[in-house]
Amino acid sequence: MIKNYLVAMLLFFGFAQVVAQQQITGTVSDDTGPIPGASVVVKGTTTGTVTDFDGKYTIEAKNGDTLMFSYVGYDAKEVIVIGSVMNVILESGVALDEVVLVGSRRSGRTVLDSPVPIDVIDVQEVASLGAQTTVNEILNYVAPSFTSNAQTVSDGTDHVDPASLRGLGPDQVLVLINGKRRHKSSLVNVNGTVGTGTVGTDMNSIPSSAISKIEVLRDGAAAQYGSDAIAGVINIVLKKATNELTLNVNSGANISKHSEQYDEGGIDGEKFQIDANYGVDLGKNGGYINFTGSLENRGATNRSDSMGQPIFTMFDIAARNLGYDEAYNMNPGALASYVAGLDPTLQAVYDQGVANGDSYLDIIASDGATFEGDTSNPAPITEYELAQRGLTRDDFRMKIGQSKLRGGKFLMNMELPLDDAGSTVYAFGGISFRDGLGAGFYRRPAYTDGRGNQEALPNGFLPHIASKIIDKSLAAGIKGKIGDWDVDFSNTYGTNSFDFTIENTVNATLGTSSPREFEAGGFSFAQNTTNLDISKFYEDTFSGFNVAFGAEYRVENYQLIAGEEASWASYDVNGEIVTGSTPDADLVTSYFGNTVPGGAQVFPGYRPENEVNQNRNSYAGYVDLEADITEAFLLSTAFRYENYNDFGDTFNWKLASKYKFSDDFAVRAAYSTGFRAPDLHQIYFNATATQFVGGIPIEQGTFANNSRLAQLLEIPSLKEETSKNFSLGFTAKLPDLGLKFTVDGYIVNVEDRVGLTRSFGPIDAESQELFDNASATAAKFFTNGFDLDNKGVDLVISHTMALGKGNLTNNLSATFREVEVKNVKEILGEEILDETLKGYIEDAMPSTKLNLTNTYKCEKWNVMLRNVYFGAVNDPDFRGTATPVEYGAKVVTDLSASYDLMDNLKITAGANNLFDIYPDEVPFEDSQYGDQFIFSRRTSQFGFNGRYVFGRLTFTLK
Amino acid sequence: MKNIKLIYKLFLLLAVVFVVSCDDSDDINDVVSQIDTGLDTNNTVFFNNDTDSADIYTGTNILNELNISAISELPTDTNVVFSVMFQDGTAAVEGTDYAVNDGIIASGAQEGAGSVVFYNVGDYEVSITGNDGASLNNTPSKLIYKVVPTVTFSIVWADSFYDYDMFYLDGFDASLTDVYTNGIPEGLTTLGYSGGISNMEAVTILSTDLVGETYLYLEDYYNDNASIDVTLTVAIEDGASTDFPIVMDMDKFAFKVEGTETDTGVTFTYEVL
Repeated sequence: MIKNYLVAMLLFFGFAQVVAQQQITGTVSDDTGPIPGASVVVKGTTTGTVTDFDGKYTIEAKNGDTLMFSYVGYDAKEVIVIGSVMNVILESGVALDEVVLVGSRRSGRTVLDSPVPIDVIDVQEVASLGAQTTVNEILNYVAPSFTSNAQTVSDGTDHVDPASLRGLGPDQVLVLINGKRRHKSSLVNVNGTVGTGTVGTDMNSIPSSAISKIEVLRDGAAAQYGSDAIAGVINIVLKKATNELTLNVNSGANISKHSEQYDEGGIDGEKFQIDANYGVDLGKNGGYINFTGSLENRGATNRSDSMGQPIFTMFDIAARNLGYDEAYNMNPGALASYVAGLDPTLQAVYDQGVANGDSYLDIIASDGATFEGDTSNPAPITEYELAQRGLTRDDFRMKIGQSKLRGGKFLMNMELPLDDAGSTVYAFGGISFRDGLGAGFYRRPAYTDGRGNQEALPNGFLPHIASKIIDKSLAAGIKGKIGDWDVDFSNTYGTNSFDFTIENTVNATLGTSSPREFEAGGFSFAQNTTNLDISKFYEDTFSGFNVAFGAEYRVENYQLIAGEEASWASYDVNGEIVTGSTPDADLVTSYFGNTVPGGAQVFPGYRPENEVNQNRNSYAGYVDLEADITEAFLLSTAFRYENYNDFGDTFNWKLASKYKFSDDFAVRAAYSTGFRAPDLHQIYFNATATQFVGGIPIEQGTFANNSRLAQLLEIPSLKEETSKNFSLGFTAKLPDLGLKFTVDGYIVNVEDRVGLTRSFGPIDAESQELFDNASATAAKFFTNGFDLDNKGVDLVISHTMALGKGNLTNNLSATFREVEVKNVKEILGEEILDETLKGYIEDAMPSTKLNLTNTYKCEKWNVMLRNVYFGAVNDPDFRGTATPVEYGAKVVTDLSASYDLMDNLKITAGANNLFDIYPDEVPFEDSQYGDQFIFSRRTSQFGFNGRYVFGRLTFTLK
Repeated sequence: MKNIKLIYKLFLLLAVVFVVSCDDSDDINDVVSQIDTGLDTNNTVFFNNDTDSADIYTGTNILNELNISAISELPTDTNVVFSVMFQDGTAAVEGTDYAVNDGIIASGAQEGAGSVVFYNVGDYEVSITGNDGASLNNTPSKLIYKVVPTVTFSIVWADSFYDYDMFYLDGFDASLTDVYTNGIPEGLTTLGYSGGISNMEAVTILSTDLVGETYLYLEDYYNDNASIDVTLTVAIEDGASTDFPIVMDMDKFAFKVEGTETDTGVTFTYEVL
């Protein structure tokens, strides 16, 4: 029924558009003759064509429509349709350069004029042809030196993809919306993934259909924009379209050899997304308001195989037969002897253990021969018990892959001119709500510490982490002229919150009375930034001189909210919370004598002692001078002073220059200092668990930077990271060949980088005393612990040519980089980063990435072929071992095609990763955790979901 | 607004599509927690010894209980028969190498016990070979008794007016005094104790328990602190016997033994403290 309704609507819209259309013909030429391959588009639609070899074109349009004519190397031209024949002459110029907002406070600066490298990504063009629909996905496949991939089995990080620019951290790139600072996520990544210890900006909370373009400034810009802009700046420019409704219906799935289960093949990761964008004019002076809504439903993927780890022990066999209580009360010798007598295969396990001199508990917990494909002697205890229970190893698979996600986003962007003098009120903001569901490690009954809670759940369980992510933002401001000065006064507020609900789990210390779901707490982060920017352009000074200055005041708040009691507490056999006075005999222990861990399995909730509610404020002032000394020579400088109420002040500056040797060749260079303020999350986040040793509560986990233990270990208060950036490059054009080049080399040195340390414990009597004084046994911290040296080269080549009846655009971008960790500080005589942590920074992301995209537009067709080369990466888990592991370079191919069914209806179909390429598998079976992590969970060049096939319908209505 | 009706229809479509695509399932696979399969047992008699492993270290002429159990209560008195052999498969001779008593599980009970005593050093295998119960299976599991030489520590002194008691400990703690008042310090385990009222005491320890550093602590029961001569004799079963003079002037750790495990057994070095 839905389908019929859809078809009826399509027919209705199509018919309405046929009326009043006519065929327009003409010739496009320059002063020398006709121009083949020139683009002709009906403005505000997707209707377009290109001129043939004789410069002739034919297009459907009606009187009053505006035709846009463009070709590389020429100034674009717009002509209103009157009549059926429209001949146009184009004039040569430096047309088709994008005007950018980022990188310069002088308005109207273009990409090619910029003294620093900037990429401009037309999001609608990319999103209309490619499979990628979120901001991170688009940038990962399109922007050079930008890397982002989904994580798995990593709690909240499953739903916020850590992103990196130029190999630096997710927190070392500043994100702006319409030139205003975007707030960060409330989540600090503390799991073993790329970006561990950092707080990034959640760009996936912004619907891509609300975005006109994304500007990526690949250079340090802290002197202009403040904290975080060490690797660069990403500016997301929102749409302003009016009187046009664009509706995208997007559907796809992973159809891959490993879909649903490793090596089985099938379909998973189904995705359905619907986006709508509509705008109306406001007032009569060019004002507008544009709305975007987006709904997304994304299924999970799973690339694990059958569970290869031990699933049952002899205890489970006894418990099934005799009842849990009776089995629990059997001494190990009796239990082992009793179970062994049930079946010869079990007796063989018993006898083997006795011959080895194993303890009874070891015999009970053993699984006989290991399950490594040796079908002649599989794990006898597990195999026996699976058969008895009518289960298979597939019933115990973990979920390794993309998490399930459902969400809705809404965004508004508006400007309202107040007068003819340019005074304008503007605002933009929105709300996004996402509901993610990821899974943790399967709690198999074979866990000897009782976390599987066999008494309540004899077959164990797969706990899930449900994350609710809410993002809200509103920016409002007024800009205009005061005298000759351009003034912009604005306030931007944004907040992000994470709430964790742990589902399908237990608190094992509560046994059969445990709830199955827990509210585990969460985080929130709020930021309010007030900006005053003033600038003036002196046309007659040099060849143009722009002076800008301004101020900023920012307030931030970070909260860590505790979970419900049962999510974090350990209970004794009487159901009372374990304290220092709880007798050892009252502790809940497993059959194997281990104290059963408390809290919600997979994600113990945050405790009241961990709660945080902290604020910080900062103020800044800047001056920015930009002079076209001559038509060919641009010089710019910026200075910024910023003061934070917690760590003090910082002063940064930048000097950039560009020299145009000709219209087609220019050299640019820049040097700047930068900084990144430690995030409130890094200063105050703490998550500790309590154990009682001899009646004394002992803490272990992540301790806040201002905790007593940190002070006893003389860990200094967090301060800002500082950086020095140097870049040198050139831009070149060969208009006759339709070629544009940019090559930029860079060196970025970061000092006092903030990171999450390895776990530390007491190593001698002196340190033991320190830990005892803090009632702690093992601890991690955030600290300014190391330096980074980062260098590389980015290359971008663009080419456009006429081909047949259409236009072929070829874009090649490449990045080659190297990151080195240096000057690692020590705590208790040990470096704060172990080899694994260094590996996440230095070589878990590709140091080489090449992207070749070929797009061919011809009449109603538009075809895109993209090949992305991802360089090799090393697995951090094996770094520093006798067997380091490298996952080889891969090429991932995307292919898609779109066709204009009607003037306002386009259909697109295609595939991301057409040839179903996967990263190399983890080479050691022992490291795959029983065939679960076949692909590394620590590093991934491009994810491991395999081929993604999609279809899209795009409606455009006026 | 132009096309307002079209917009309303599209939003309706949007809402309908969202509902259609909405997946309420949490996609949580909950493996069946209830076990539907039947039990796979007949009643069986099995060993119910409360030891850490099937390897049980013991000495000669020490009574070792053979605890047995059945899954459910037995309807009649049931005799359980044990067999004993050397672990390498050779026969052991009852009366020469060992003596064994059948296990008995009384009517209405699940548990019972027999016993075995070994006369010679060696590795023995004890198994259940029979029972006179109805439909009662025997576990094929075995117990391995590793019969090792023992070491006897004995002290003797002239005057029974003085009372000295022996505690054989697996470690050292210089703060230990007045053990009957203060107790054994946490972290130390008593391997042997002798606390009579005569002028002699003796403890026998398995040689395997003397691997590493172990200590003899002597408690001056009446705190006489009289500097009395005591003779300590260390006698290894079927081996050497050595005397050591000790002067008892206070509660003290009097003697240290360092045992080293070798292929042929445990060797010892001694030190008077």
